[in-house]
Amino acid sequence: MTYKGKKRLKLLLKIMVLACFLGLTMFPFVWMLLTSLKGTQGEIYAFPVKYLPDPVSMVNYVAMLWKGNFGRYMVNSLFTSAIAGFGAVFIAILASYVISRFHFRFKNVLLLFFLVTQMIPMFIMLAPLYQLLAKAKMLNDLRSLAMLYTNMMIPFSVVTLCGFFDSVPKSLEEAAWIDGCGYVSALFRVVVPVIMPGIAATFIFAFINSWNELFMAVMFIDVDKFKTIPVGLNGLILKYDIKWGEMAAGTIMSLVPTMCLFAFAQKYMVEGLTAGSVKG
Amino acid sequence: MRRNRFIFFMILPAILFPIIFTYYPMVKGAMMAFQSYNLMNVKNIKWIGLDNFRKLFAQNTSNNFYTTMFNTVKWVGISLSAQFLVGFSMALILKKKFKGSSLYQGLIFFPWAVSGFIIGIMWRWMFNGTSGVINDILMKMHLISQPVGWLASKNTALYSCIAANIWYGIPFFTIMITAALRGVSQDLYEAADVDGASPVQKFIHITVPCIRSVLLLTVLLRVIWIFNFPDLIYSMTQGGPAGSSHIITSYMMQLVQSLDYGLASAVGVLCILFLAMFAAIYLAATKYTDTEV
Amino acid sequence: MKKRQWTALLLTAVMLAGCGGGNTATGTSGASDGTTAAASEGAADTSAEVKADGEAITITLVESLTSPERTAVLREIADKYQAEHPNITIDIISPPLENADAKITQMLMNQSGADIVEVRDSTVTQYATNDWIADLQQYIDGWEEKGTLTESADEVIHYLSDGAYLIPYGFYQRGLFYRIDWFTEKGLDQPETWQDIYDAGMAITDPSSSRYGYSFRGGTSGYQYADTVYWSWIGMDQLAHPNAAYFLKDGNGATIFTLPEVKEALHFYKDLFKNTCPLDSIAWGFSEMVQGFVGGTTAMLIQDPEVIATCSADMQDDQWALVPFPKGPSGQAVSPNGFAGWGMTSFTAHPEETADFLLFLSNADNNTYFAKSYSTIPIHSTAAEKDVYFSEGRFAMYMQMAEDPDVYCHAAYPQMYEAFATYKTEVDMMYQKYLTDEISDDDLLQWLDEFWTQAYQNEGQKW
Repeated sequence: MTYKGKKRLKLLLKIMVLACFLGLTMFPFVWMLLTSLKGTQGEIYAFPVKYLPDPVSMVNYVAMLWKGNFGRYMVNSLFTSAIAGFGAVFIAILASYVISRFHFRFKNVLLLFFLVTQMIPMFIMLAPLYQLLAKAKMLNDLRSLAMLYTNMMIPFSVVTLCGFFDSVPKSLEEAAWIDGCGYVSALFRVVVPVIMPGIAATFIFAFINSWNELFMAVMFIDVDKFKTIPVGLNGLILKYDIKWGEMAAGTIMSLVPTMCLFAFAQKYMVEGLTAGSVKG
Repeated sequence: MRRNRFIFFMILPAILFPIIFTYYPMVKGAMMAFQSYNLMNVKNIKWIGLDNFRKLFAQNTSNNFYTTMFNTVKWVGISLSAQFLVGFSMALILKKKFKGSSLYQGLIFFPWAVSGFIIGIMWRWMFNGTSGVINDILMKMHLISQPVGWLASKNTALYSCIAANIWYGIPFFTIMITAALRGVSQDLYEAADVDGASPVQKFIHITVPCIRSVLLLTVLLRVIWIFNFPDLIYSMTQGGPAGSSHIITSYMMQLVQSLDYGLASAVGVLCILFLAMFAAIYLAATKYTDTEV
Repeated sequence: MKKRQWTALLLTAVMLAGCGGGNTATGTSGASDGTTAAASEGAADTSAEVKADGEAITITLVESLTSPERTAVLREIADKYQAEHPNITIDIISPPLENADAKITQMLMNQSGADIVEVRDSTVTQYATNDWIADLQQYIDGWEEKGTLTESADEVIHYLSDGAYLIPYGFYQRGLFYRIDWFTEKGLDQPETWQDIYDAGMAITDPSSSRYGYSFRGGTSGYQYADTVYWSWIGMDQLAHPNAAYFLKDGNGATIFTLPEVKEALHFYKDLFKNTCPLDSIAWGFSEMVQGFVGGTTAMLIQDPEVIATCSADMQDDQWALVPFPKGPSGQAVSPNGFAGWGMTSFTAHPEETADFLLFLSNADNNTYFAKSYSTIPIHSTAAEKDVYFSEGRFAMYMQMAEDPDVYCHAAYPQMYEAFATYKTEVDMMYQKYLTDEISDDDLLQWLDEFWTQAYQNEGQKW
C-alpha cells in the first residue's frame, strides 16, 4: 500500500475507534435524555423498549424545576463545589510544590500521610463528624459542607499535583530565583503556568467529586433550601417507586454545569500548554 | 531557616484540614471497632476487644466475609485493568490534537460527571431483567433469545456492576494520561527521530519514563478509590443476590444500616489496614519514592 | 497569565457573593444565634427558642417515609395549626427516604434538632430502648379523641409494654391486587387462597411474551412474605403472641421453624418463585414489585394500600381489582399490620406544645384526611363516617377484612428483640441462597431456628 494509503487507513481506523468509543460512552446519557422526555410511566416501562418518546414531553423538567426545588439545589451545589475545587487546589499547590521540590526529612512520610488519608472509608467518620459539627453548631450550613468537601479533596489534589510538579524540570524556577524572584512568586509565575493542564484537571475532579457527593450532604444538611443536587435526586427514590422520568431530567440538568465547566477549563489547558512549550 | 519556615507554612493547611476533619473523627470511629456498639441499645456499650474481628472471620453459613473479600479483589482488579488499558489507548489516540479534540474530550468525560449512586441506578435500569434496554438490544442482535436477569443471578451480578464501573472510570485515566502525554516535550521526540528511532522505541524510552510518576500515582489512587467506591454496587444490587456482589466497603454500608456500628467500624479498620499495606508494598515495589526528574 | 488569575478570582468572588450571599446570611444567624432566624427560616438546632417575653416557639418534625406529596399534606395540617396558634411555628424536615432513618438516628443520638420524629414499626424498639422518645401516656389520657381510636391503633400505642411511645398515623395492611382482565381472558376466578394464586400463576405465566403470574419479593424484606405463607399454613393458634409470631405458644422459646407445616409452606414458597415469577424477582424490592404489576409483567401483587394510588394513576379501572389477603390451608389469612406514627423526643424543650401538636395531627379530622391522601388505613373508627372514600370504592375492602377478624388476622415478626436488627440484614440473603439452590431447606430452617432460639436465650421473653 502506498504511504498515503497507509496514512488514510490509519486515519480511518482512528476515526472508527473514536466514534465507537464515543457511542458507547454516550449511550447511557442518550438513554437518560430519552427517558426524561417521556411523558408517562407506561412509556418508560414498555418492553420491547420504546426508544423514542412519543410525544416529546417536558413534564419531568417542569416538575423538577417548579414543584421540586431543583434550581435552588443547583445553586447550592455550585457554591459548595466551587469552593471545594478552588480551595483544595490552592492548598494543594502550596503543599505539593514544596513536597516535590525540596528535600527534607519528612517528605516520604508526608506523601504516605496523604495517601493513607484517602484510604479511610467515610462511614467510619460519619457519626463522630456529626457530633463534632453539632457541638460547633455548624450543622445545616453550606459553608461547613464546602469545608468538608475541601478537606475531602486535599489528599487527592496534593498527591496528583506532586506528580505533575515532578515532571517539570527544576531549571525553570532556578532561573527565576537567580533573577531575584522569591519562592512564592517564582512558584506562581513560572511553574504553575507550565502545569496548568494538571491543575485544571485536578480542579475539575475536585469540583466534580464535591458536586456528586451524597452521604455527607444528607447527613449534615436538613433544611430543604440548603440541599444539594445529589440529595434532591436521592429524594426521588420513594418507598415504592423510583420517579424515573424526574430522576432522568434531574440528572441531565445537573450535567449542564459540568459541561460548561469543562468547556471553560479546556481553554486554560490549551493556554497553559502553549505557554509551556514556548518556554521549554 | 527561612527555607524551613517556608516549607512549614506551605504544608500547614494541607495537613491541618485532614487532621481535624478526617483523623480526629476516624480515631473516634475506630474506637467503636473494639466496642459492642449497637444502636439498638446505646446503654449497652462496652469494650469487647477483638470480638468484632473474630465475628467477621468466623466460619458459618450466614457469614459472607470471605466471598466479600474475594469479590473486592475481583472488583478492583478487573475494573482497574480495563479502565487503565482503555484509558491509556484512548489517551494515545487523543494526544495529538485535532479539530474538535477539545469537544471530543469534553464529551467522553461525561461518565465521570455523574455521581456513583445515579450510575448504579441508571445501569440497574439498563440491566433490568424484564424491561431493560440491554436485554432489548442483545435480543435484537440475536445474541440471546430471552431476557437475562443480569442482576438476579449470582454469576453475573458482580460482573454487571464491574461493567458499569469500567464505563465510569475510563475518563479519569484518559484525562490524566492525556494531560501527562501532552506535557512531554516535543523536543525529545524530535531528537529521537533524528536518531532514527521507531514508534515503539520512542514509546518505551521516552513516553513511558516521562509520564511514569503520573502513571504510577494514578493507578495507586484509582485502586484506593475503586476500593472505596461502594455507592455503585449498593444502588445497583445492594450486594445481592445472596450477598454475591458485596465488596468490603458496600458490606460495611450494610452493617451501618443494621445499626451495628461496632462491626461496621471493625470492617472499616480492616479496610484501612489492608489499603495501607497495599500502598506500602506498591510504593516499595515500584520504587516510586526514588523517582526524580 | 494575569488575565487568567483575575478571571478566576472574579468568578470566585461572584459565586461567593451571589450564591453565598443568601446562604451565609441565614447561615450566620443560624450558627450563632438560633433565636431570631430560626423562628421563620428553620436553620440548625431549632428545638428550643425561648424569648424573654415568653412565647415564640418552633417545633421541628422530622419525617422518615418521605414523599413530596405527603410532605405537602403535612404542611397543610401544620399551617392549620399555626393559624390557630400564632406563636408556634412548625418546621418540617424531609430527608430523602433512603437515608432518613440513619439521619434520624444521628439526630437522636445527638439529642438535638428534633421535637417530633416519625417512628416506624422497625424503629420503635430502638428508639424506646435508648430512651430517645418519650412516654405519651399522660397526654393520651387527657385526649378527648381517644375514645374513637380503633383497636389496632390501641395495640400499636401500647406495642411496647412499658409505655405509649407513639401514636400511629396509619396502617399498612396488605391486600391482593390482580389483573382482572388477564384472569377473565383465561377464564379464571378471583384468587382467594395461596393455592389459587399458584394455580392462576401457572396458567398465566408465559416467559416468551414476558407475562408472569406473581410479583415475588426476593429482595429487601422478602422474608416478610415467606413469614405470611408460614402463618397461613399453621394458623394463629400455635403462635405464642401475634407480635412475636416466630415463637410457639407455651414453648419457652421454641420456634415455629421446626414444624412440618412450615417446611411444606417453604416448599410452596420456592415453587411459587420458580414457576410463576420472573427470574429477576429474586432481587425485587417494593418498587420493582409494584412496577412489575403496573407495567404489565405480572398478574398478581400483594402490597400496601399506597399502591392503590399508583394503580389508579397508571392503569385503567377495569384492568385491576383489589381483594382480601389470600388464605392458607389453615383457613386463615395472616399478615403483618405494618404501622408508623409520630413520637415525641425525650429531649424536647417544649413537651406540652409538642404533645399538643402531635395529638392535633392525630385527631379524627386530620388523620382521616392524611390517611386518605396518603393511602393508609386511618386510626379512628369514625373514618368511614367522615369520608366515603373509606366506606366505598377500593378502600372498602380493608374495612371488610377488619370485620372478619377470625379469618383475617395479624401477626408480626418479633421486632422488639435487639437481635432483629442483625436478623434483618442477614435473612434475605439466606432466603436468596435457598431460592437459588445454594443451601437446602433444612439448612435454612435450621439457621432460622437457631437464630431465634439464641435470641430468646439472650434477651428472654419480650412479649
